[in-house]
Amino acid sequence: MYVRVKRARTTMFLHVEPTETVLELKAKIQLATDGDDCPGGYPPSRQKLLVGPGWHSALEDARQLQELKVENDMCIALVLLNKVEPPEGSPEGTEPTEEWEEVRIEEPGASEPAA
Amino acid sequence: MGHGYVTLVSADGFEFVVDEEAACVSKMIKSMMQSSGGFSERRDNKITFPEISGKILEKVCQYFYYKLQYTDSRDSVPEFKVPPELALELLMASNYLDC
Repeated sequence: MYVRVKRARTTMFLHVEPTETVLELKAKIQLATDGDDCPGGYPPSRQKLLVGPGWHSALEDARQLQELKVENDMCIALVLLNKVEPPEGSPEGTEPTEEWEEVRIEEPGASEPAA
Repeated sequence: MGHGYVTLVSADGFEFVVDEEAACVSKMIKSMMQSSGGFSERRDNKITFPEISGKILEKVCQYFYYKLQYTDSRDSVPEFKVPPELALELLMASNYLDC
């Protein structure tokens, strides 16, 4: 089967087995995102995968996809752990913090009628 | 883009990352990827389709995976559902992509 992993305007189509774990899926996402704009891809530890209405349930690394009711052609939202630089005026030496980005998925709009 | 993957970009700027094997369901993409040099597409594995909208291209990618999954399959093959309002555009895209 395959799943569609979505973030912003990008959709990744990835082959998966129902017996694979979420961590194995994240490793595939890392491989698929390896490229010029992101050397090495997104490391699994900086990925969070969300499903369900409102993308409220996060998939735990150790669970198998079939246990989590992940099915063929399902959409999964990807969010990343981003570094946030301390605001200006912070005392010197303040470490950047890290926070999870919001789910942001853009869906293609209604298609224009063919010219 | 990662190895073994190819990115298909729609007219409205949506990107679809698919297996090379899946993309090669389209004979047009296949011949593009096999041609030795010339195509800038080969280098960065990104192909832009200025005539295909994101909505249609996503459906096309779903079809690639559907086709791979059920070709030579002994299981019963479910119908590939196409919303009627997409039918015409999808037909034109499949004609263009030769799949």
